Amino acid sequence: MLFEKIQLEEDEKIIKIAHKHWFILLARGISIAISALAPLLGLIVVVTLAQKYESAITIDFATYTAHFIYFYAFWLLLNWMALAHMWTMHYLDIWVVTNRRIIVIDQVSLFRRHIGSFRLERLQDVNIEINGIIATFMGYGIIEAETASNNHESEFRTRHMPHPRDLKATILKAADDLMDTHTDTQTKRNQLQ
Amino acid sequence: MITGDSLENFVQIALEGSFYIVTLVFVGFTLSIAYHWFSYGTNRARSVAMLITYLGVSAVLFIGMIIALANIA
Repeated sequence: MLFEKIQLEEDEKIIKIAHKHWFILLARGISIAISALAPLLGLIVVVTLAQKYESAITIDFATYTAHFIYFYAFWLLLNWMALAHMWTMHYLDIWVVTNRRIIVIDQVSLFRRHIGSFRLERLQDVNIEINGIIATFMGYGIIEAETASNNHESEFRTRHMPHPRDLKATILKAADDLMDTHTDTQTKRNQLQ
Repeated sequence: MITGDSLENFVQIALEGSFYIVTLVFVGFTLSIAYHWFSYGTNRARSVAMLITYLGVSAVLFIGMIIALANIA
């Protein structure tokens, strides 16, 4: 599994795992459901029209029932695979906050993923952005963490994260706790000297 | 010359061909998503539940396709 691959450090503990907001999954799921139902609606329209204009169109639907069932099962299978693909992207796109670092995994496509991590000591700033009515009511938005590297600043940014304020608070608290630990250790060293 | 019989044969071959192609695509796709779920997923129990649901629904759809194809033949 993921954490066996990441190899957490000895005293490293996972504080939070954040997936993208469920509303995004639902919205994409609805579009796939509409696509899955489209042939059925098409058939209903054709049957209705055939009944209305019986003299002009003569289609023996009973002859083609098996054809339609085959085509529709085929179509549903394709949509089911699309749904599985969408779920996979959702399931694997995560932010992991530990007491030492933040790991950001961006699953772009099935065979393309970006994995970035940075230690909390390097954290400079965490920004959140909530745009629009739906995002405000559903409670999702953009979160970006800026880190300081040697010559440039690097940025980790993800859209559609649930409750970005809470995530920001968790990250800042983890960073503060780590700083406190470092300060305590330094104080003890000074006292010993 | 296209006759009723030759058209029926063509439809039959096309449907069977599409079945074999979608089966191959399905097997490849299933192997890759199952690999992703179990390699990069965060929860093994959830991955197992997802795989069982995915394969269960897919099996129903494949059975529907096979029965329909048998009736067409």
